[in-house]
Amino acid sequence: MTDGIDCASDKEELRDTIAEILDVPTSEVTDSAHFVDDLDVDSLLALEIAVVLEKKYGVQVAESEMKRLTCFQQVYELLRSRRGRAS
Amino acid sequence: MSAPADLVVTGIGVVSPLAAMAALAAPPRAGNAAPAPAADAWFDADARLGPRGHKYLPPAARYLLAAAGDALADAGDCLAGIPEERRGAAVGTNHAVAALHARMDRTVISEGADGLSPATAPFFSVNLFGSHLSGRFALKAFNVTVTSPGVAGLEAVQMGLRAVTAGRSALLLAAATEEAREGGTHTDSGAVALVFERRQAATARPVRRHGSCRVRSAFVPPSLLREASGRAQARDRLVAHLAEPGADAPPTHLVLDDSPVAAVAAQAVGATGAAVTYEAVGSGSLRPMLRLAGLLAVARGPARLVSAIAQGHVAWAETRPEDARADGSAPC
Repeated sequence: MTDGIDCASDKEELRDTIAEILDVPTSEVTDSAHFVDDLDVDSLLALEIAVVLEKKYGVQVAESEMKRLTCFQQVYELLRSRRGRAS
Repeated sequence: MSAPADLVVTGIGVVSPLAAMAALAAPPRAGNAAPAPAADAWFDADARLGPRGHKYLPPAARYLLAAAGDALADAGDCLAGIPEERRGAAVGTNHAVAALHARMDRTVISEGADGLSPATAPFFSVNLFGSHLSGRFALKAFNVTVTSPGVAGLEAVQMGLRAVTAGRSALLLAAATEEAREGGTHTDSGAVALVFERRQAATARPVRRHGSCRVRSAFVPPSLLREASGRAQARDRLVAHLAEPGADAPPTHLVLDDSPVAAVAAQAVGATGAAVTYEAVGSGSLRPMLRLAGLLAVARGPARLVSAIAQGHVAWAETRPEDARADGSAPC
């Protein structure tokens, strides 16, 4: 499990992870790219993201929270706040 | 027989580590039993399906999409002018989901159900393979999945043709797909897809008509074969189906296991006087469909394929090339 999610390299690692889940080039996962409108994320892929975030970062994301996460930057902020709270 | 004479095969798609189509029509006597290479290393998903959209599909779903794409491409512009709700699909499989189930079992045991991949989990249901196919190619008239041991592919053709004959669709994509079970042979992986349409529609455009195909099936209760009288009864019933009075039996290819049911089917075929070739059915429903595709692609005269398996399922397909192929030309 990854310990921190604060530095730039952690953010880029998270971006790589999200890109791999979505099966898109990392360059398409910009901070503001909309998951649904720009990256074709559907409900199953959203759940896939939640499962991987829990496995890799130990952060549980409820389904209701996933619905409010519309772009990568929001996922990053959520993980950073959760990891900060846990440490 | 289950299909009217005016339905022809215009598209054939084969995704298999086995050899080319000509080899499929004249297989060796023994079944292939090459050891499995790493997973599906023989199949380049990116090259066949594009760089995106298949990451979470089980291998058998990928094979099915590739074979269907090839069959539809072979059939030319067959979907143009046919409304989506007039296109049907029938898929046969035995093991498409077996390896995935095994992987899921291991995940549940080691991590719990929360460890399952949500994007892959829907394929827990074997019907998803056909559903995904229908969604991808807009085949909305009907969608049926058949799982009879060994003969599922042939029965998918049979049931699909029956639906077309009943007027439920104008076009049928019938297919079989398999992923070899863990520890199985890689030659039991792959997919075959066939496009059937009305001859009138096919002759209206420049596309090769591979031939016509009819399928029937029967069930021989294995318990019936414990006694000699039961075996004789089963054999005679099959002979009655297979023999056509006054007509020579077509060359017949047997795709069998080593069961009493298969032995009775082989005896029945022998009684028709047909020239016979044989191979082992392998694991799953793919092998009979590979041979059927081969016969449709290259046979120059009527031919028959008979498959039988221990559980009692017997199915036979009869193919007939379009007349022009008898003199070496491809009908268009």
